[in-house]
Amino acid sequence: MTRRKLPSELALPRRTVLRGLLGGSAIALGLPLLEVMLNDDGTRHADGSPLPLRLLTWMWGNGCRLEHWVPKTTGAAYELSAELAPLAPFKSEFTVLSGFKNPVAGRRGHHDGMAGLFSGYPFVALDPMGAPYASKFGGKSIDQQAVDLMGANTMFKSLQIGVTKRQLANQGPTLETMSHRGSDQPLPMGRDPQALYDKLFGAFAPDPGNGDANAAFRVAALDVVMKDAKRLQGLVSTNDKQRLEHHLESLFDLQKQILAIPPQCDLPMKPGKLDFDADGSEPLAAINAVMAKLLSVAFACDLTRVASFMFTGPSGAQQFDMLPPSMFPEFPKAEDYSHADQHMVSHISAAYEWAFMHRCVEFCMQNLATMLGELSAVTEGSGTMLDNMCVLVGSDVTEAWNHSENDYPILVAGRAGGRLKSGVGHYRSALGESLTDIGFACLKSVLPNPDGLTEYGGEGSGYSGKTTTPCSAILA
Amino acid sequence: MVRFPWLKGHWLLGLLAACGTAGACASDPSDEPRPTKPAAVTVPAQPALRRILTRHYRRSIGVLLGDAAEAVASPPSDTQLNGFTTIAAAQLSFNDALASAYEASARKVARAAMLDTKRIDALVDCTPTQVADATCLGTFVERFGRLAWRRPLTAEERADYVDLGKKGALGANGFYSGVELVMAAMLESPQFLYVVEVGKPHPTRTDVRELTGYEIATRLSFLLLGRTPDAALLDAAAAGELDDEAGVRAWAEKLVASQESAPALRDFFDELLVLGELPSLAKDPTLYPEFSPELAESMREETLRIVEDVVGRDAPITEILTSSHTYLDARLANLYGVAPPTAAWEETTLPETQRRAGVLTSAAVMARQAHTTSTSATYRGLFVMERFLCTTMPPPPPGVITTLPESSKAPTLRDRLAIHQADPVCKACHYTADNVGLTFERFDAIGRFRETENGSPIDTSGAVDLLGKWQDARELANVLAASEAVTSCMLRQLYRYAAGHVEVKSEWPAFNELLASWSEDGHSFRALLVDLVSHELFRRVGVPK
Repeated sequence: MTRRKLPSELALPRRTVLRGLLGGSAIALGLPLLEVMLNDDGTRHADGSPLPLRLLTWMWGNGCRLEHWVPKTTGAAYELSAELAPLAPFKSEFTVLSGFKNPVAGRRGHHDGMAGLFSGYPFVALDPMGAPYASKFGGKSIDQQAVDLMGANTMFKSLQIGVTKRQLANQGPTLETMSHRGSDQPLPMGRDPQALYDKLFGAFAPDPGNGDANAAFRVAALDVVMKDAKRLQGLVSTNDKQRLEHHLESLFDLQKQILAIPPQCDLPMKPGKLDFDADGSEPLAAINAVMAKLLSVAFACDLTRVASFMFTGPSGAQQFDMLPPSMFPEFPKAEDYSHADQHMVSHISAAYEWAFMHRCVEFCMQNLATMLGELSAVTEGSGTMLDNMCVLVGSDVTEAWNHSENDYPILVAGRAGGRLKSGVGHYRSALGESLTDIGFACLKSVLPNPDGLTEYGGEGSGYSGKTTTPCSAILA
Repeated sequence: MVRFPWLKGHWLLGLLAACGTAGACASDPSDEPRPTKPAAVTVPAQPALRRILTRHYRRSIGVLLGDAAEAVASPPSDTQLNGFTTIAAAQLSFNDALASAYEASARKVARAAMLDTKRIDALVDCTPTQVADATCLGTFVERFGRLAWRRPLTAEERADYVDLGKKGALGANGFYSGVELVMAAMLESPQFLYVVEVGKPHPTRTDVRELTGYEIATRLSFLLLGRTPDAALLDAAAAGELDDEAGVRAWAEKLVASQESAPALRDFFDELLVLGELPSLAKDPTLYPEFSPELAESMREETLRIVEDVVGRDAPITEILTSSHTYLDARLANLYGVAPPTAAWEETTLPETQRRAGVLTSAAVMARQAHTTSTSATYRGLFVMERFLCTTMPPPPPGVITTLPESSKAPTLRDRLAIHQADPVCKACHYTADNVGLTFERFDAIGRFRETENGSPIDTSGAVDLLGKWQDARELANVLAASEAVTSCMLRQLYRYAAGHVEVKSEWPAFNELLASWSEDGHSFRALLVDLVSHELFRRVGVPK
């Protein structure tokens, strides 16, 4: 058979196709908040509707050195500790929370911390029959609970961003990502700045020769694929029906992204290639700076209202070779460990480890400061974008050398549009309140209807992270 | 006949619980198999949708649409659970990142495939008389659909995709835009991305379902060839050739003997031996300047060649532990301190003094099971326990100090671990792993041979109750190779990989039968594969709940 090209006039004009297939389902995206759109005191839209609130979870791996982390004094006038010192420019923007207990702790160090801090559910262990250990979350992570309860119609329901690529990948989803849409649905952290840029803004670049018709065809194909998934649901187990429900949700999200109309705010330049890695040596601060910038634009353009950000991962498989041995003059063996992964250093000689881990935490907080800087550089109404956010910051263990699980290092930054108290400074829980109370307060603070949420966290494996008492130290 | 194979893999757990002080190392008894009253009949686990692996996706695109299409395929990468990617593929759900990646890949593949007009013409096999020629689109939908989805389409599916093709024909290339759109959509469909096993009712039993011929063809092809079944295997399924044990056995024998099976079997051992991350492994450049991604690739290749040799000769699979010869290229010869080979790769025997044997002492395993700056007896011991004995070690309980003393006070790792093990809480769990792992201490963190550490000689002897005693790594390999726990564990690992789940109790009776027949087969790995895939355990599924 010979291939023959059919007359082009038989093809429908692109615009017709677009209108015919898409109906009115496109979503309008992305207007940065301009003063003219706000009411007189800049706290709400001119029409009285509230400004968008956002939730960000931010973590670094392997905990802190408590003696250098916990401020010596409490209250608004507290003195920053050595490890918090890099955050000095933002001291009035965050609350230090210490002395909290993890109600879902006691089984496996790093796993307990991830589950307690970022979900409120005990993790599910998967180690039957002598197979290598793995675990997964016991329920939705806090960011995904926020996605469901906030109900924002943004292009991306949420973003997952990672900085280091060196991460433990053999103990299951609990340690691989902070975001879990369900127990069996871990959402991977994107770790390449260029890929994140393409994901956020690539769809808005001109698509010569394809354009809108292309989008319409893609959506039509996904419609048929969704029919396949629905038919398949009738043939499989209850568990697989649920998995296919997740599949359908993802296909629907993809359609929404294809149909999105470009944001009307200024897009940043595409970053250069940054995901270098030579023998485990990564430019962590440079990647962090770009990722923080991209995320801040994504929030400002309202491409999403929820994100998780993993600077370094649980258990610390990455190196901190930017901390040279010369920083540790009292330890002649420091040279031997200059390229060691952080996890290994956390389990060697205590004296050197303590000094090294301390410096690592300082470095992580410098990078958190970069993020807070980006978020507070965006003006929104009478304040900054950070004022309309809740940023939950924490780590997977308290101290790595003994996998301790009480008194995790935790910060909550932002004011969530006034829902979070300001001027608290350092709050130390004398009674060992549950850290899931903090998650509960953070989640409530960003919801359109906070009173509708009466409990947080869940039970399983003989543990319960359930709470009905949001942390009153931070919730206004 | 071995009656309780699971016991062989689990006595170590009992030992671990007993070896130290009570409590600290106890594993959860509810997780352990119970040997009492094994079920009389085998009931396989209920089926689960298994997302096809990254490598299976690529090779399947190659088979379906040619090399150019395979080259542009960009499936998302796999994750693993309980040691295997197939287990994660059968357990984890889809997410937005996967949806986006698969859609992008399908569009690129379809675009590239359309340039192969000969292949497209053969699939369409019809001259379109109008831009949205439903008859010609129908031929394509049927033909390509059967290949991509590994079964014939239903009438409803056919109609939906013809409709989609008609919409697509409005594109710039008319009819062929329709073909391209259908092709992309079929590759985005869960019917392509998941292995779907619905089965059909068993004639007499209500607790199991028989897989259909097409479903068996799919299982055989992905496991034994690492890709979607081709037209010949699908035709065999249609002709009923896979409907009984003898038929499946005949096809399995043919497939494991084919050229294509070697890479697919490599894939299993690559995962079993945890070699996948080797090329991206980090090593301290000042301590190990010769370590590079290229050297790491050579290491991985060496280890897989040892396996391939044993599998290819149909020798007992335990020879991968004891093999006295190995395969080196110039980089590895330099690392091992022997003369460079005369060809790119050469079979050779390493110096007797190094006491190396098989895969366990290979540079790949030694480097992978080590830190960036030093060895790890615990990683190495745990690797042997998990991968060859099917037992694991509980985590350090929260609050227990896990740091090791500085090396100036204790020159060798054995000295440092001895101080560590003075704490009974640590000893309870570390006893077995460390005693096995310390035997490999003469191989440094990139697998180089050494006799001393910090100037002190390295003691490689070890002993674990019930496993026995040994003086060095080669003796340990022999001890393991003689252990029925190792062959039992190998079967379990293969099954986990092949079926995409950790075995359930109702599957144990089949393991007894398979271990007995495998023993008669002289523990040839390919014989085990044929026995396994033709066994009812593999040809049936439980009833979905």
